Amino acid sequence: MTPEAQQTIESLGILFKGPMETPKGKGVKSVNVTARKTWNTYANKRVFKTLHGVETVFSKAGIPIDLTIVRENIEDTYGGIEHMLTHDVALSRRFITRPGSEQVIRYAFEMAQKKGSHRITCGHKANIMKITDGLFLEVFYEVAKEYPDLKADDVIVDDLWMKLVTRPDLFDVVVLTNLQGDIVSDLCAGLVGGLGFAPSANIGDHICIFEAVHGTAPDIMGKNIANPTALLLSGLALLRHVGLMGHAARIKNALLYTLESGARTGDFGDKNKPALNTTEFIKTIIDNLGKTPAHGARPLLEDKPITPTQYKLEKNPLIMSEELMQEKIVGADFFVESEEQPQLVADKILAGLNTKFDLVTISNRGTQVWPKGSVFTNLVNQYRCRIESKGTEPCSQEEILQLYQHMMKVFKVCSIELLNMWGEKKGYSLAQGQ
Amino acid sequence: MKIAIAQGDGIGPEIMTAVLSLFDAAGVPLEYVPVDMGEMGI
Repeated sequence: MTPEAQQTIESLGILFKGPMETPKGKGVKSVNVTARKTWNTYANKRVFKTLHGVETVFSKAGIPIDLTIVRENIEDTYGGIEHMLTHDVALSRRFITRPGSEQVIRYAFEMAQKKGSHRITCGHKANIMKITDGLFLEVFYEVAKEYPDLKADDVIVDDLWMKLVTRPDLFDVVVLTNLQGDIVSDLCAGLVGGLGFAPSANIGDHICIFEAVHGTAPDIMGKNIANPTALLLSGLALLRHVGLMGHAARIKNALLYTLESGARTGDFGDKNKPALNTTEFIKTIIDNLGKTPAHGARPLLEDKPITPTQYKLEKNPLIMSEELMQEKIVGADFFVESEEQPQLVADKILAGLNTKFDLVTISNRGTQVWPKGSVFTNLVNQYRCRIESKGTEPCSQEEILQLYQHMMKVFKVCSIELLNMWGEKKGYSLAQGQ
Repeated sequence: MKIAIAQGDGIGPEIMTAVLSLFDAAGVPLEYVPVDMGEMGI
């Protein structure tokens, strides 16, 4: 992206964007990812709606779909913070933050309320990721209290995906963390006929990006046969975003009317009917402006006044929630490299361990292998050793450093993570089997 | 009101031109400022 382009987008606040090539070379980040990260577009909203004239398994079965997926767009494993701890063991860090979750969840609730949704669902895997997805889910229900008229519930992602492919009409708005939302978004696009019918909006406080998420289709480039529907639907979301409700509804109705009439580009619809090229397809929609479709006609709402704003931030905004409980450090998890059996690892740690601390558990790939474990557990050459202060007495960072010095005499310490508590609440998960 | 437009790569320019021509025909009161963001602009 050129500096001029960046400046223009930052001063206008709204970008309408065609598909872009993602460079596959190393060290080059895609424009899409850069845009999301640079401008903090924390929510990705994608609407998946049955279009009459676009045949799918569900349209044939008479099951109407109207799903909105809101995906967190910045956090999760998408920070790409990854390390090799040993030559065999890679570790990825997954960030879920309270303020980051609140931004996207609040956006989802506001949006759901505005469009008169009947249900908002949080998809998660908090049964396994109790701390990270647990936090996301906790924030979801905190925000839900402010919207008593909306039915808020949650579903574990695997169950959600099964239900989406069997009864997609049961859901309305679904909000998810980044990776799970990424996967489910494309799944839902498939339910309504593919990425050619799936609009996308990346929403931030200052800059919003409306885009088609399908590829650049270089094989048909310049042939004037591409399907413009996804980009058009994204454009209509843009019009509604800036308050041009009436214009958006009029164009949407013309599009729906056109699809109902059987007009199509080569990639969809009744193959017995001739395919239109891009220009002819758009011309047909233009000719249908003012007509009302038989299914899903949009009410012609009045335009709202447009108030363009010039955004110029002087410094980075800090998003932070209030710390309600007293924080204390009660120990640390040491990630160490070792090819020895768990009991030997434990013996080495226990020899000369500061009496203020206990070795609580040792796990391998998250499964406890000491003090109790199973001989059937396969081991890799990296253990997580949890050392806690007796009675969870608070300890200093200096004492943790002394523990580190003790550990590094016998192991290569690959990584260390502090064990924090807020009041009586532990800021860390238990090992599987602990 | 002005908005930024990035046509994109491949089929991007054709479908963007098509969509904006529809917006114009429908009398959408927006001004478009092209920005250089695609493959060539990185």
